[in-house]
Amino acid sequence: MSEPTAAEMKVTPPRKSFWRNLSVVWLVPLLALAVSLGIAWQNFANRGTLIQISFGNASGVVAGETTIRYRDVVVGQVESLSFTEDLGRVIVTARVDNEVVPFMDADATFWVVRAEVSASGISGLSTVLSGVFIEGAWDNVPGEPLRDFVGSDTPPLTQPGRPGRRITLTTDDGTTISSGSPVLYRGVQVGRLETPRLSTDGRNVLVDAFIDAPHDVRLSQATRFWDTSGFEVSFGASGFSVDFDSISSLLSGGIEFDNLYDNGEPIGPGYVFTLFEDEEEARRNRLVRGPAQGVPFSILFDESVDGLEAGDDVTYQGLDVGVVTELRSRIVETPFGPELSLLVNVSIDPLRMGLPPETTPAETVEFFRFAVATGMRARLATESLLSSDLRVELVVLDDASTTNLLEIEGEAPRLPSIESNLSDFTATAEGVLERINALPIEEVMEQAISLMNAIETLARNDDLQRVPGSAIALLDDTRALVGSEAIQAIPAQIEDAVNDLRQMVADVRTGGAVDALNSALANLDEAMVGINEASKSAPALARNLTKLTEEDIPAVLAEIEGVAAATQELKLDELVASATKTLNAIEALIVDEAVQAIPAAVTAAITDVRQVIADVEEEGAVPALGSALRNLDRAMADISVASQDAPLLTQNLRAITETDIPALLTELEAVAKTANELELQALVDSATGTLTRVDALVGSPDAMEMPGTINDALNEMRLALAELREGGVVENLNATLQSASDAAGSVAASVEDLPQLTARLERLVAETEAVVASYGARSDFNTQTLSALREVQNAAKSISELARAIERSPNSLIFGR
Amino acid sequence: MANAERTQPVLTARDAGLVGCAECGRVHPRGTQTCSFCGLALQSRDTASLQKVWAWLFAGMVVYIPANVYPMLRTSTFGNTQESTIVGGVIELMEHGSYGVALIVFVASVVIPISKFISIAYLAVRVQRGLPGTTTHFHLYEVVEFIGRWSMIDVFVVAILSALVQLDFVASINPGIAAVSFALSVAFTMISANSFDPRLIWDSHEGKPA
Repeated sequence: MSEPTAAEMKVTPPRKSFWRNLSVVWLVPLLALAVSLGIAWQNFANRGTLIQISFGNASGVVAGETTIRYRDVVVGQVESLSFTEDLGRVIVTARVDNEVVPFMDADATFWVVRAEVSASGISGLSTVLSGVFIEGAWDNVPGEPLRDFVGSDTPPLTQPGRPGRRITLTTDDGTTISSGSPVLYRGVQVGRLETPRLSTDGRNVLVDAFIDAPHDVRLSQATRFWDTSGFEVSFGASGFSVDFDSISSLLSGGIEFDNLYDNGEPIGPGYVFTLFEDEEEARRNRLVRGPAQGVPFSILFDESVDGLEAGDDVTYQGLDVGVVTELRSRIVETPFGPELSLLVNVSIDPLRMGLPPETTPAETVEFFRFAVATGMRARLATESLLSSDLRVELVVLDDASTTNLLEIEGEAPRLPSIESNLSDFTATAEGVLERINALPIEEVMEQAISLMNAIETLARNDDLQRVPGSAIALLDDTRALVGSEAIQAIPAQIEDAVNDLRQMVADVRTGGAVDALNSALANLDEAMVGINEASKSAPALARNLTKLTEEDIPAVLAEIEGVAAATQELKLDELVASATKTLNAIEALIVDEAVQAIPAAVTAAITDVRQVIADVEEEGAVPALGSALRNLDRAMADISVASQDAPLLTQNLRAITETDIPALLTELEAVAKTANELELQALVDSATGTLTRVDALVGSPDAMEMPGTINDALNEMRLALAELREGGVVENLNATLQSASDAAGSVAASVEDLPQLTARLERLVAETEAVVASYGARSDFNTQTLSALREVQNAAKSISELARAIERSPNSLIFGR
Repeated sequence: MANAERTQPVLTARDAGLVGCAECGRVHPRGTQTCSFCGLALQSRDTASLQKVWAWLFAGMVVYIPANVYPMLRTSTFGNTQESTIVGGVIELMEHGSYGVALIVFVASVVIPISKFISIAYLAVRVQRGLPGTTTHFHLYEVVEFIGRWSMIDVFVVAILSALVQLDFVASINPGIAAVSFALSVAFTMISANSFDPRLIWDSHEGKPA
């Protein structure tokens, strides 16, 4: 080329080494590569772990779509579905996040969540739109991770890792409990029941329950569970009531629990609670675990067990100790050929028999072995007097024949039975009913009706109907009377009078002379007045006397003449002689010196008496006596009222003279006749004999000594009088007379009050009459009576309270509280 | 350019002892360090150009892999979440009968990026080996540079859908990792294409390797 060559010194030098030319731009692809690789690695690392879950069916599970969730958070996804080799189950292969894999150990459960409508509610509603998902549950403790799981067809009631406690309940009847039923504590749901299952021996129903924390701490051996399923209808005095806990428990059943006493022992592993039928039953069995813990026994009965059912009680001394579990017949080989007997299986709770809680069944059987050997027997008994229901009763007989508990291999131990006394009761009851039937009830009824008719008639009587008003008026008047001042004053006056009277009586008692004098004067006065009155009837008396003298007395005289005639014939000579002899003896006696000394002694005594009287006069007793007599006079003037009775006396006297005296004369006549007829001769003889003996007596030396003795006695009497004079007797008499005077004054004073008292009594009578008169005037009898009754009632109440108070604390009587 | 093809020997600025500004096109005498018009550094040939091209190209290719492996869209409809990759989306569209849309997506997301990779690599290899470049090569470069931006159509679609369809439970669309990767890939290849100094093609054409 012809072109001028330009200077080429600035041409870029040739390339240097590769590394020196390396641009920083290369960092960009390196970075991109690193990031890409990083993402790739992270993706791979986070890809998750494949697990396999087998289900009975995979309804709704879609590969690539269905997610696996834990606590509703997606932790994985189903990748494929396949079958097990025998096509028995569906295997769901899923990829789950690595972070949850360590927790998916043996306790992990999976279930398919679908929309579900049940009695307990609606769940899984969101799956209606989003499709089903698989929910997984496991506890919060990492364990040995697994890759193959068996999914459950239904959601587990309690998810693993949920705080709480799983317990087991046992019951006889599982009809009312169902899976998912609530467990309530005081009405609040604290847990759920799981599916009931049968125990291995098929005897009981077991059901697990899960009690959520923190309520599980309430569980102890004091806890009792009971069934609250359904509703309870009760009809009683308080009315009609229907009880049920909740709609959910009404539909699906539920159980409730409570601690029946404090400080229950904590429950250990494997502890089985008993589910009671109702709360009452549970509370009744607060100290026992229930029939489910029973030990089986069997009893063979020879008689009919009609009325006995499974579930009936087994009692010991009236205490429930077990329950009848089964009834069946059984052929027993006897020496007389096969015989059909009835075998009753019972379950007896050792706890109720008083055995300790840890007693094993073998120990219980051992106990019964001993009990049977010492006389325990089973027999049938009626539940109550009126029902035909039977129960099995365990009794201990003292005179039981020796029998042992029959233990057959493979069967429940057999308790020996004895004949019951059921028929006796039936016969007795029949007899009672027959007697009731024979009672004359209809006649009694008729009599009762007639009685009631009579009462009705009486009640309709007008007079009776007026009684209440009159009674009211009477009560009113009586009240007014009682309230009056005069009546109020009476007690005081009576008291005064009584005091006076007492004083008077005391005085009178000390002075009997006044008393005697008084009575004598009174009698005299009475007699005088009575005679005065009697003189009025004197003519009639005179007539009677005349009649007597004219008619009766001659007859009497005639009889007396008869008597005299008879007497004349008597041997009176001897009698006279004997009397003369006696008189002679007496004369001799009198002539005796001692007898002659008697008059002197008597004279001295009289002198002493005169001296005493003189002393009495000197001591002023006479004025006192005068005043006493004056008082007495006043008293007699008042008392003379009593003499008004004298006419009556006179009349009586007249009656006596008219009737009695003739009778007396008649009798006298009869006496005279009798006397006339008497053997007077013998009488005279005996009189003569008597006089003879008197003569002998008078003539005896003892009689001769008698005058001396009398003389001595008179001397002693004189000495006594002298002593009397010197001993102040006169002063005593004077005082006595003064007291008598006072007494008489008091009597007079009290007698002065008598008219006043009489007037009051008259007023009282008048008022009482007025009361009776106003008998029917008032009508508020009921009110008054009621108030009176109420006061009486209050008084009675007060008294009864007082009595109670005293009964409670007798000390209050002493201390006044 | 059409003229350049007709004129047999092309006089390049370098041959003329000049150096042209890559930005404003003004030529300066050789040796001038900076453009007197726009002040940019003047360089007759960008000797590091090929390195940049290769670097960006590699970066673009690297991020293109996750762009296709990972899901582009995450579509949730009534709880059902569906993730679709680019190719998966195309197939799905075709299954639904939307062939047109499928074609557009396929061309924009698959054909164009891959074509770009190939084109750029081809040009770069030729330059590196000093093979003479033809006008065709130059046209190829221009097409690559022009069409690169249209590859972003996929990213736009994802961005718009994600912004519009957020109806929570009923339907929602979220971008996946692939969207970011794809956007990066497009960006990297564009940078790669831009880094390519087309003058090198001329040098090769002149038989003067750089």
